[in-house]
Amino acid sequence: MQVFSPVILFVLLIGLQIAAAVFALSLVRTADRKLIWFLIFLAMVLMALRRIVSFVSMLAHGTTVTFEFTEYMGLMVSLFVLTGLIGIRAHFRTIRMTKEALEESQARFRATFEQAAVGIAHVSTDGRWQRVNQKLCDIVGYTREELMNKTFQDITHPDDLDTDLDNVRKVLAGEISTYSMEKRYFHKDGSLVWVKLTVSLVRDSLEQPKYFISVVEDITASKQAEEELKAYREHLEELVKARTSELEAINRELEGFSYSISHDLRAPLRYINGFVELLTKKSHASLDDKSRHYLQVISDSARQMGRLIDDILSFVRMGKAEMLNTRMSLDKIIAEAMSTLSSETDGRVIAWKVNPLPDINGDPAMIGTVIVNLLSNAIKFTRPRPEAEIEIGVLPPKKDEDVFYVRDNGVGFDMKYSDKLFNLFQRLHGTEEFEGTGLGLANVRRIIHRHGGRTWAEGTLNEGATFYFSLPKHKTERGGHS
Amino acid sequence: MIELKRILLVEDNANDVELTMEALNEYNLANTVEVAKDGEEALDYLYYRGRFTERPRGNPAVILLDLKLPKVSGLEVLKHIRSDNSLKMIPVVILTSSHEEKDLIEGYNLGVNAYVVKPVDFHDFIKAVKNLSLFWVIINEPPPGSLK
Repeated sequence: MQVFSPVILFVLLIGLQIAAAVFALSLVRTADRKLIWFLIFLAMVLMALRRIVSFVSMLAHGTTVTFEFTEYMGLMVSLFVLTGLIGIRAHFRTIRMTKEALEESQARFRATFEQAAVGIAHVSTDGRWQRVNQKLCDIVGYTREELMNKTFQDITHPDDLDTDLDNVRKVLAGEISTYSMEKRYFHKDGSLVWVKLTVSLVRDSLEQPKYFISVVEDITASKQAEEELKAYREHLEELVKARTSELEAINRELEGFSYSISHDLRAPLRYINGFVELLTKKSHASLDDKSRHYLQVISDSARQMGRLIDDILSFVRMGKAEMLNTRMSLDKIIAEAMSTLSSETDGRVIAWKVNPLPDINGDPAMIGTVIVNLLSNAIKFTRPRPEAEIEIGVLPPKKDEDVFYVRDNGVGFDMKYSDKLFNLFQRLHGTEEFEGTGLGLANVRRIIHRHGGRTWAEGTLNEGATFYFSLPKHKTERGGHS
Repeated sequence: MIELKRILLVEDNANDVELTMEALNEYNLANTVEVAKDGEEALDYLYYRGRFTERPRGNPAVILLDLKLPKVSGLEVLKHIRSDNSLKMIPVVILTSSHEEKDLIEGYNLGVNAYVVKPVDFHDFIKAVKNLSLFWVIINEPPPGSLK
């Protein structure tokens, strides 16, 4: 029993009681119900005092210090009280920290709710506004108090109400978890406000609906922009329609115009040619060489003019004609072209090399013109050759286009002019060397471009030239594939 | 025996008249041609009016009819001819520069015998006129009642 000296035990006992008093004091400071902790503080102080007095008196009188049963009891009690107080203080600290965290969380929520840039509201399941932020009030123009007395149905546009209520029903029934819709609210001043509404449901721990969280975004500005855009677009379409019919009218005028021009211009040409011929026939004998030469020039000029008129008309027509899109055999077109050009090939020695060509899609008349033009050029510019070689073929097939070529061994051209070849009215030779109007290749390029293809050429002076054109592969209208 | 069949040429353009005459000359037909320079004169000729009151009786063997005429147009002349029992049998050849489909349609609807577009080329024009006259004046048998 006397393991420790009684003195030490006494000191320990007193120490414990003082410690307990100190803890009780700190609780007085920090906890509520301060009176309780104060009384406990007092109790511990008094108990400590009692022991101190008795200890000091034993020491003063020189009596042996004894640590009896009551002292042991006191030791236990003090220990328990101290432990309890320490525990309680820790507990209170935890509670305080939890409270502070909760307060901070609530403050954060409030800030989010109040200061969001969109309207947020809590709405009861029957539609009453329970809690609204300032932005929502700003959007609909009511104060908080005014809104609290209303339901969302009160300020919803009747045309949007059914959809809204239907969505609400679905959410309550659990069919959907949230919904989003554009709708109109009546602002307090009577005007309409377009908003984007997103609604979700908060359920309690028993999965029963508690309240809706509604996020309301003011989209009046963007709706207005949308309306304006629509109005502009419609206006633009009106303008386009008007412009198109204007252009169509001009086109029709142009067609009649160019048609009558060509005829009105041709008649005098016919007379020039005709009467020069009659004059030549009539006075052939009495004309000297110079005079005959003059008449020849007049005749040739008239003929050139006729060709120019024809080419211009054809060029103009190609520009605005409706383009057909049918499948055709290039072999057939080439055969037709060669027969059309038979007058130019009469008396000429030409080695033709016509390779088999695939069928293509396009406008047969226009493609026919392209082939005639290219072949006619080949025939014309190989005239200086004793034996002309003209080859028509297609390059090895590519995935999305066919490339065709017409190659000749004629006078060729300098590659530095290759860009100019397809220009309108551009020629690389004078009419003395080779006749021509400068429209043929321009027409070819125009037609091929309308078909979605490209044109280009390669040549070497005095050796020959190759003219290429590509045509994209299309799907045909009736099945098949290219 | 080539009888003196008459050709009525209805043409407003003097140059075309001259060229046509040159062509007809090849078959010595130039003096069988009577020229009316517009639709009204054409009808005058057919009805023995105006300057044609004293002309020999009988219809022409063929009428070469231009379409673009002053006063009365070619198609109107044709309509008159075809609606008159005494004239409707006369062969009419439209000889015009118009390529227009609507003229073709109306011409044939009104019962023209042939529609020839004046060739742009002078030589082709001469050839066409010669061929026309060869057929209608020499080869073709005109309806009874035509001038002899």
